[in-house]
Amino acid sequence: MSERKGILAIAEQHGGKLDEASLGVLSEGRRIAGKLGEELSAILLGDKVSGLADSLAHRGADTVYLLDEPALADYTGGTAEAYSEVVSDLALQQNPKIILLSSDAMGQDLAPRLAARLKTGLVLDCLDIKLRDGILVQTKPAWAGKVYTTMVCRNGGAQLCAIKPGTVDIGRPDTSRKANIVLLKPPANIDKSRARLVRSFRLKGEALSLTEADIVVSGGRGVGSKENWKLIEELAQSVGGVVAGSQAAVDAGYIPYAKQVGLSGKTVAPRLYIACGISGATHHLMGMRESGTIIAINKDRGAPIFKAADVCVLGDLLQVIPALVRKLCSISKTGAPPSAGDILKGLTS
Amino acid sequence: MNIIVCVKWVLSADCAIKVENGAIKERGIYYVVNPCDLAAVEEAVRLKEKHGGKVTVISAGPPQAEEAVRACFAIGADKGIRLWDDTFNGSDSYATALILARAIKPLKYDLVLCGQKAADIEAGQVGAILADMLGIPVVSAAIEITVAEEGKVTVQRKLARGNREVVETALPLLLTVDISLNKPRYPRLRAVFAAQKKGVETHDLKSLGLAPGQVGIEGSMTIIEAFSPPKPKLKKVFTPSSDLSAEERIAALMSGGMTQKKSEFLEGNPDSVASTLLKFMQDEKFLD
Repeated sequence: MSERKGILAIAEQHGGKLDEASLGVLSEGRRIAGKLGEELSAILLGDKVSGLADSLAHRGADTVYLLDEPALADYTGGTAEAYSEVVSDLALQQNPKIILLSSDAMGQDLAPRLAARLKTGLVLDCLDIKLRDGILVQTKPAWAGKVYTTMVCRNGGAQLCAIKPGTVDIGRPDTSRKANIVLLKPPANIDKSRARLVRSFRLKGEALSLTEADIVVSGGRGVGSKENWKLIEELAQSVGGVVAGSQAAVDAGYIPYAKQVGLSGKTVAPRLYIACGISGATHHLMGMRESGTIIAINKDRGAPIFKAADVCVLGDLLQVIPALVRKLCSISKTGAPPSAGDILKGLTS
Repeated sequence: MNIIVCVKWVLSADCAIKVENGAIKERGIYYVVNPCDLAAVEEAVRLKEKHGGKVTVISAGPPQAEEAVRACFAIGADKGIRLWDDTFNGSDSYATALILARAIKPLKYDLVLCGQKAADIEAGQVGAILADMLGIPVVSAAIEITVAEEGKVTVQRKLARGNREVVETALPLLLTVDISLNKPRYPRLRAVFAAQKKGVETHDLKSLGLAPGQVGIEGSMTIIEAFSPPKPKLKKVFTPSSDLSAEERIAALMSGGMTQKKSEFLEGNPDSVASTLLKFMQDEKFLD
């Protein structure tokens, strides 16, 4: 077998737009390629994706492999086999040292398939990559993030690394970069997939479980009463989030245990976590500190929650939330949630 | 329908896990059947109750892992197989999949179930590699499994952020299941006692027809170098603004663009605070 060279980054698109996490994967690929003095290639599959080749070049790809194929518009349970065949065939032909992809829904399904086909080592959910003699030293969480583990691939195969979204910096595009574009042929098995997609859908609002929600609005002891708790629900409704509570809120009976965030409840990592009247005891922080952005509303300047928060609102939630809900309703297309008016009137009059 | 479920005996993620000199501290820890795998066993038993057949549980693990097999007997598994040899020590996902594949190949099966990931290392790949070795299709992250006549299978998959997919496929098949697939039943006391008396079939390197170089660290594609306590999450800082003094800008650059979280307080008039918050949420595209 010829010597391994280069780095292959697997890019992802949704509806003709490059996925944000893919940009991070490319940036990381560029960084590693620079350090190792290797070339970076990118592969992108989808329907009408040729227009995205330039953006991949701007993000650092020296070569872009494209497969424009309507039948492979999206990565689904139905196209997974064809996708993995295209990518693994390219990998077998190019012999890259490293294959990078995002550890999201597509990566978590695709990467193990590639590991199987290429008979090589894979680390999923990689949080941190270091280089040692050209080998990737990868750190990933274990035991639900209680411990980190450092792993390396050891058999001389392509090192497969699935990067956890949001853990790498997305570099600025360099519009002067040009890439060599190679068009790939559709795989022979494209319509022989052993699985077929019937339909796909997305759960919304309260149907969404706490651990899957993009936005979580959480209340604590500071909410004060079951009556005031309606404010938390209003806020959640107006930002399209799911309601949760701290242990104190559960103990006070504001919300059932199933919605408790913290060490003895659920661990959540939404894009936005709004903590209202939560002081931020360690066991609560353990359950939400991985959230993308944390907004904390609290009266107590010394509350530990402020140490974890990105936006710290020092004030009375009984005044801030109604003001916020009113503003949210005024910009919302659907207008105020049905019950918002009454509660707000009662509290602000 | 004959169903095979692969289970792992894992150090429970519920215990207080401490790291000492790059290794997990052995004090105060306990093991359980990997929760995802237990959900898979429960599902297999439910499918058996509906369609008939047999549920076989396979675990690659040391003698202690027999407890995992017995826990599965207690909720309805019919047969248990444990695969172990001292040479298996240090096997990663790939080597483990090979060991399981060798044990499964001679068996008669329609469906193989695996947990999506183990609660310890969370490698999340044994299922897909095993399916490849067995030459059967794999569908991941199953949260609803329906088996119709003539071996047609409909699977609902759980993707990130509330996205769901319904996929149609056919037996023989390997499914990796998500923890939210079901809530495993609580075993009856009598079943727990009966489970202790059941025989567990065992296989080793030789009886599986494997060579020492194919398993353990030698047969692995990845190796764990060390464990460490989790690091605090770092937050990106904005590019230093030109309003800052040279000293402050240098400090910001020296931090490598990253710093620990430190925030300014928003306070004062609730209305203006709310406006600032709203603008922040709009700028960060949380309201799209």
